[in-house]
Amino acid sequence: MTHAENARAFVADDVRAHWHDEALWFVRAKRDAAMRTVPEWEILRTRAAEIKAHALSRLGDYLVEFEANATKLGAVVHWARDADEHNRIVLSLLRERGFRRVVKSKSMLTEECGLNPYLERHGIEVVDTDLGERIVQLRREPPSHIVLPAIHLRKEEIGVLFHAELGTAAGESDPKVLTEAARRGLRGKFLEAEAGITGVNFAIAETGGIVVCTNEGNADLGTSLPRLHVACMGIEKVIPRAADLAVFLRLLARSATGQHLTTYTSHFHGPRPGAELHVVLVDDGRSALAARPAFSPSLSCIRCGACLNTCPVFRRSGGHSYETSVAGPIGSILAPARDPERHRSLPLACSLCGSCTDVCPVRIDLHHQLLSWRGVLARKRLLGDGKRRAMQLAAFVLARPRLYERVARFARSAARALPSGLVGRLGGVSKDRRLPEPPGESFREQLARRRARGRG
Amino acid sequence: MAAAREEILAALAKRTMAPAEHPGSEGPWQSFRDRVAIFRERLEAAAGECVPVADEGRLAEAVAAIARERSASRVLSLVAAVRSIGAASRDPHDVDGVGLAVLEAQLGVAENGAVWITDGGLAPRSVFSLPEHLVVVLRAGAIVDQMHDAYARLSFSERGFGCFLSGPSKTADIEQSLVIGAHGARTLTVLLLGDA
Repeated sequence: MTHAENARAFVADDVRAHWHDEALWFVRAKRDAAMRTVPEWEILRTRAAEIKAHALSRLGDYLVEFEANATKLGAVVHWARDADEHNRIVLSLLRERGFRRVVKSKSMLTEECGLNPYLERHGIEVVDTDLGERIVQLRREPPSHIVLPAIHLRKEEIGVLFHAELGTAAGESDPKVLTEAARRGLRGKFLEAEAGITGVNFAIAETGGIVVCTNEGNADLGTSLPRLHVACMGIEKVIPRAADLAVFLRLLARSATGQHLTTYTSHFHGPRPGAELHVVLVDDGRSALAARPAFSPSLSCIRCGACLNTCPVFRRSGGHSYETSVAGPIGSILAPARDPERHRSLPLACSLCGSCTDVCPVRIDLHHQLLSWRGVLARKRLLGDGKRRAMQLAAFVLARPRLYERVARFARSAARALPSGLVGRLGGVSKDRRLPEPPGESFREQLARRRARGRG
Repeated sequence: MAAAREEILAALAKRTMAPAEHPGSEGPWQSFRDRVAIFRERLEAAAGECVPVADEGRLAEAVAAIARERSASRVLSLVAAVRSIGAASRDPHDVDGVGLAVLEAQLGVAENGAVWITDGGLAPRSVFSLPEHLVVVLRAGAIVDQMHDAYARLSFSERGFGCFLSGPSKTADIEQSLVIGAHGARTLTVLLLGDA
């Protein structure tokens, strides 16, 4: 299904679609307020982009340095070429120890790899502990947003879900009561867990440590009780030095939710006494992306979600319309790199307004990359015949000024005379969009008239 | 395993990304005329509380008042001046049921109201997230302006755990409504020494 086809179902519920739009814009506004408290914000963004560009230019060296230092601290580092290898490594770590009960905090990488269904197929109980992720796990659906996994749901729907799954009172939809019920239910899971799986926000080459950010404290609970901590990360997460964290952490939470810092920003250097720490480094297409200069800056992404919150298309179409683990502008760049055919509609789910590029804390030129993707897809003939022929026709007309003038004059009068639905279809515009009223005269006609008046 | 490592590193060695210099850590970074006031303001914005305490002699009394207010019968203290109530073993699971943990912060950060705490090998790590309520003792003189100054004072040369903690556990995953006390501590109070 294309993004537009998926979005149709989302926009059919007008009230929900408007609520979603406004809720995300509210988060964007909080981000703006937090940003304004930092006078050197733009300097920080530049610094972050420079550190990431440097780290990516020497990624292999920094991974080796990280591995050496993490190993010195007693952690075990694993390497996985793809999702399948990653999943097999995690499963074998559990099986070797006879562990079957796992608590997991948020990790977009494990979503990308499909770790949960894989482990469940092999008889492991995996409990997502981030509240939003727990909600979508109980609903058996993927998260719709990388920072706000359940932003597509209303509290009444969560109330119905919790009534069925956690035994809250029927009709109860107070977020405080629902959160408390989840807390009580998950406490037991934390205390019984044999292993905790987390993502990684940053891995530090210089020290061999990893940093995990949460607001709920679920990564801390999930790693301080069980004997095994497995941290899963994409290879692009490594940064050179601990001091670099200051730059990224000042940007991350402010960009994500408008907080000045995540509540728990936890630095793990080696396993805790009597426990094990394993770090799985996953490539899964990242080294290939690093080799494509047009798109390699997308590897700098720190997964704050700011580009999703600000995107007029994401806000009005919902994360599930993208059918990827990472949705929104950044996801629309990353997904076609993995599978251009399957995700070919995503670079078109963009108005090229550039708002994503303006808010990106690491200065990824998102809308330029989305435009570049359209070029790549067109050359691969993946844009669809209709679009290709329309573009060829447009190129032909636009290259001939006299012809253009005549076509434009005809189009204006036709647009006024014909019913708007038909005009839309003839113009190749989807029925969810409205064409503006055609002007009475063209720019050239106006210019000619004004010149004539000036002379007379 | 080894094959994966070599293959990934070989693929990265082949890529054509332009070399780029590390920009270094020099500012201009934000500084505040009244760090303590900004720290308080940002901590409260993160749903934490800040209570000034004149000197170390008053700590036990301040903690006892908070424990009473929060109805915490078991108190686990990692601060020498405050006594624990109800013994805890080294088993991290045993921290479940602790009403109040008292921790010591090395640093506070004005720009975000966070405190830096480490496990220091004194207690199981679950002491940061499992107790119902947290009290953190911080010297007013240990508050720095921003994160750059914080990292300049931290060292990660040894095995261990450290955390910037800003306020109590929270979530806004249901309709963006802020709820305090998601999984970890329901309240976090910073006892600010030497600022009374």
